Amino acid sequence: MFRQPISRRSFLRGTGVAVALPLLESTRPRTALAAPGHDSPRRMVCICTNMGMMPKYFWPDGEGHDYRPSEYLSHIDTYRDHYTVFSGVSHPDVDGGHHAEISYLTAAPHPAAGGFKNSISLDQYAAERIGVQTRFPYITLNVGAENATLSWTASGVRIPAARKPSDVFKRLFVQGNQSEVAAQIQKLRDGRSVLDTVANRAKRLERSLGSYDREKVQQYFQSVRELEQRLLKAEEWEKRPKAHVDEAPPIDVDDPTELIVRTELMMRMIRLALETDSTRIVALAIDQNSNPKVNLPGITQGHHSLTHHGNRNDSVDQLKTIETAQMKVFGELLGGLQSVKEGDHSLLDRTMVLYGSNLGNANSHDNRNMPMILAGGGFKHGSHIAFDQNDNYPLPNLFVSMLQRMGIEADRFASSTGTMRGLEMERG
Amino acid sequence: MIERCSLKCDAIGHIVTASFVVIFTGLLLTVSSSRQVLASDAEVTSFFARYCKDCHADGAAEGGLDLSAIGTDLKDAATFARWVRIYDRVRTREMPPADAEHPAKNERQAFTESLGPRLVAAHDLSKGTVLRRLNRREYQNTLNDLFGTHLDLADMLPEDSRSHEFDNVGEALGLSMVHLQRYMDAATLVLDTAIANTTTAPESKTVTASYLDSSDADKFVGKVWKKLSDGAVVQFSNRSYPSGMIRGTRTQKTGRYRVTVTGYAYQSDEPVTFSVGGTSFVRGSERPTYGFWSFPPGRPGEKYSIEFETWIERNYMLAVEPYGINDPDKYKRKSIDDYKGPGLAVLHVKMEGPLVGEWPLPGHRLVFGGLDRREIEPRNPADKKKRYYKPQFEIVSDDEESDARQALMRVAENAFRRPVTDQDVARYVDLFSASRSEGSTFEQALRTAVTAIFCSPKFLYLQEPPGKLNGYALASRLSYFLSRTAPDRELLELADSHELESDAGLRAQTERLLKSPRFERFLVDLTDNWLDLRDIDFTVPDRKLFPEFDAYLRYSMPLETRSFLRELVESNLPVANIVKSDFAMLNSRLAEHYQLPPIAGAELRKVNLPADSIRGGLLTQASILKVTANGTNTSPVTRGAWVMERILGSPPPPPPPGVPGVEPDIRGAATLRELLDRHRNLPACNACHQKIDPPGFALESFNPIGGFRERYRSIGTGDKVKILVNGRNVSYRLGPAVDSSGELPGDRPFVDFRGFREYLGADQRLLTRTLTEKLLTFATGRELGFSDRSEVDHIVAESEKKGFGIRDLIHLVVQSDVFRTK
Repeated sequence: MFRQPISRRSFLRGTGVAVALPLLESTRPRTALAAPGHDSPRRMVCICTNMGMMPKYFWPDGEGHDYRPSEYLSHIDTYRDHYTVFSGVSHPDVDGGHHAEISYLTAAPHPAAGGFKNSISLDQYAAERIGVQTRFPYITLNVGAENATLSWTASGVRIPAARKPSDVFKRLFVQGNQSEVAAQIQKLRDGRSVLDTVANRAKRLERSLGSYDREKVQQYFQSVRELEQRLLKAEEWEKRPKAHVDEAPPIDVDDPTELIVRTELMMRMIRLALETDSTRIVALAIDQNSNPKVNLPGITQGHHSLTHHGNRNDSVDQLKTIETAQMKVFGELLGGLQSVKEGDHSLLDRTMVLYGSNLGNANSHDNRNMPMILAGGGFKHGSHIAFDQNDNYPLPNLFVSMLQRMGIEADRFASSTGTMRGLEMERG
Repeated sequence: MIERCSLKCDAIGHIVTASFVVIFTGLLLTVSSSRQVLASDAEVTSFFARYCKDCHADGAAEGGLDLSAIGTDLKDAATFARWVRIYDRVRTREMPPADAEHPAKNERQAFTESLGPRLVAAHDLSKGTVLRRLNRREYQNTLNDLFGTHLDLADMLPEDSRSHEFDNVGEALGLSMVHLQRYMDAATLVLDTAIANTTTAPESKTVTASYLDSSDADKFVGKVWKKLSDGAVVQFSNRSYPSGMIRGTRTQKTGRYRVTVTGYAYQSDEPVTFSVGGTSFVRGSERPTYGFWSFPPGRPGEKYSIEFETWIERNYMLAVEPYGINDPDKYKRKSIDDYKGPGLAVLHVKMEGPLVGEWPLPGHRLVFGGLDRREIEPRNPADKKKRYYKPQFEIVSDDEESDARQALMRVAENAFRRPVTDQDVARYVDLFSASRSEGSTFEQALRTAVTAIFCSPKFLYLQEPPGKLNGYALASRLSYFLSRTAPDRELLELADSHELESDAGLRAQTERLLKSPRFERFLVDLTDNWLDLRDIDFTVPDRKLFPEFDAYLRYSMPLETRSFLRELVESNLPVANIVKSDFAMLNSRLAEHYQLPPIAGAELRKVNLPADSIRGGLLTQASILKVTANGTNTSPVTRGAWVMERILGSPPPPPPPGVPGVEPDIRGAATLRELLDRHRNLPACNACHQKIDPPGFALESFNPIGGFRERYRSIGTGDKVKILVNGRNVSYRLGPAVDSSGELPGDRPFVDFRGFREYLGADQRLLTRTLTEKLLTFATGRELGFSDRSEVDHIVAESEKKGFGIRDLIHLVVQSDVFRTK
């Protein structure tokens, strides 16, 4: 017999259980946006599309400001002054082909090796430090596979990403009625009582254990305490009205072949979340491992299969169609962010958008020479910063630069050796 | 040249020796508390100074190893691993390399005898292992079994990290607040599902539907469908339109259903195979396939039935579709009546559900057993007759705290997998009381306390105090190993009476669990982990290159591997069967795929293979060949590394940094093997690749979906072929010839897969060692290490005495010290 598991989706539909985690609330009230004399807050968006981008259509010709855009970059050339493209960068010792996607924001080495443990991801690192400033310390999203995520805790645990734009919208903007709010508050309180009880159990257990096991109990204990804090803050937020937007709630598209439409929808949610300052940190994993046949003209094969094109013309052409469409959607996100004004700045000026892939070349599963773009967020953009294709420059240095730009005092992240060479901040 | 070299050695010899003394003093201190008698350091230091330092010291670091900088803290996992590697390479005579000066046998021995005990002692200290958290599947099984639910809880939890291929290794299983939040949500869901919210058992409906019931009949009968005298409707083609959807089976509720399909194979001497799946009009919705079955030949008046149970979501309809038959002219003719080809006759489909089973569910009784839970009478009794009336319940109690304590003790005993005391549940009772005093109802307060029990460390972690496991810890370990769930009543009773701790008691229970229906979970989880079958859908084979890949083949692949392992266990067949067996577990699709004599029907069964068949064993199974390829092409390196890690038990080290991958090219010009050869011939690469690649070369005889090949398929250059798949010409061409020859280390050349397989099968000890290590890792939730080697040696020797039977091996594993201690 073939047991057909039902998807989590259907459970949530069927039972009304709200899975709260990808979007956890925190304490302080929303800051007023760009009040006179104040700069609007800085934000960070990190995106990974996990099937790579074909090198020959991605890398530009020439270096510095005078580079000639590649075919792909030509689709976002309108924003040329607002982004930097990097070549010859990758995470040191991050290998293993597809496995490397779990290290995209963590840079944890050898993700395919035995005994591998992931480390904290860039978004979580930032959220731990500045997340308290917004209702949601961070939002982590995905388009594609159910378990795809870019976000990892310090103990190397996967943080599940939200998949449905309508859920995201609801949690960000839809205000419950009085009895719903009361029920939610009760639920949060019950949750805290449960945690309080189990924390005490853990303490007792800890005394009876050896040092290796004690570490595990401490991890448990810390998780309990962190969640208690989050639930407490969530309760405070629950009593305050959510941000208001005029846009209609999104209608989910569940069809896995609709990569582009689904990406567009999620990117709209990202813009709304940032615009309302509901959060300042967003991660988005675009995962095509499950190989949907992308609904675009001329596509006859699954996206993942196409990346194993073996240089076959027909496959390469189809893959180009998909990657071109992805590039254009990314351009739309930049356009959307640029169209929102905050005082003298645009939202794009205040938002770093990292876009790239864990695969430098999907056809050979190569993790070096990752295609990387950083847009917006207050850097001097407009150039192609090129490093050695054979001896790559450490990408974590870019993460350090981004953290510093967020106003976080960090001088290293994972295997970084400094800040990103050649990338300068704008003043202000 | 030689002179210069030896001069240089003399010049630095002392310095190097001196630094080694320092290293080894540190090493000694680290493990000085050990009971081992340590040989003198002199053996190790002089060995290094004489045989290793030219390439591995004083700035020279060939292969990335610099002996003067390797560290001495054996508590550090990486340092420890380096020392083990040095030990192994010296012991197996891989180092010093063939073209260098060689130590005498007694020097080698002195070296290993000096270093070995220290490594054992260091590893012994570290493996007091960690509290092991239940992984997602263990968590799901445990709750579902306890509450009688069938919920997909695993999907609510973050994916578990793996250590090598295993996702149940305590060390790798982290926990975060994400987990805790989800555990609370999952407990809520389980309680919501298990607790009865009606006063009588919900009714299960039975629907019997036929193709004749809907307008589809008017459209298709007489054209592409044929109606027979007994009312059966025949489909003659597996093409997608019209589909085999039966509108009358549309579900109104999500739940578990029993499905019976009745019919026969029409105008056919052979059974006709068909799939039963679910379909929905919702755009983008999943279309699950519940399975494949076959009907024997029949004619009007005869009938056969197949029956199965499955979970079906609301608003889904069943679709019954024939497999492998074709009516190429179906649109060209006016009437179907003259057509003489085979068809699938379906009389009707019966659907019963949602199945209620026990009511209320075991979980309801677990929580409320002995409590007086009553329906609250509505103010207007007439409300009860209303269609949407939902009864409310209350718990009536004279002594709430005592009643709650009793309930919580019952829950805790089940959750903690051992007896509990008043003190164990005191805090949960307090939680109940506090919640009650804050205004929650009895039921709500009890639920909160129950939720806490299922979020507590005693539930979430396996409680295994270091040393010899007590009966309860042993019961849990055995149960999670073979049934992947909490121990049942019988195991707990035997734990209580200490019988389980005896050899005979443990053996009897192992036998019982091997025969339990839950043993299927062991087969699924072991193959998902050890053999990567969970990745079976990671890539979808290229449709142009492999047009014969279809849903039926995909469905059969993991079934083959699981039923093969089941057969090895049930018939206690020798371990060598892993690489070479004289039988295979097949159905019609697999037999066809493997170009074996045809057999009929979708049911898997044991089939004896022709003498000298290339099939037999795990390595030739389509499932394994698929998960080790990427859907388009195969890489000898990937497959070779896989065989080394999973079958030979020696995972190759990762490639050195800075080596680019080879870009596959399937335009037909060069094979991947040729492209790889250019790299492999570099001496630095060859050290590892001479071991990694040969198994991969041998497996080049099998394409990415497990079909046998003598030439690579290509799109582009190559010879055209005239092959029909499913009535259509294939579009791929045949490119270069496959070369599956190679040479295993130790001067063991082979010309093809058969020759390779002989070498592997001949080394049954090695295969047994690997399997032992995999089973022990899966059973104990920790990676084996240096200090476990002697116990593994012992198991392998005992297994040999008994003829290497796999069932015997499982017993040896369970009886071993590694299994019975922590």
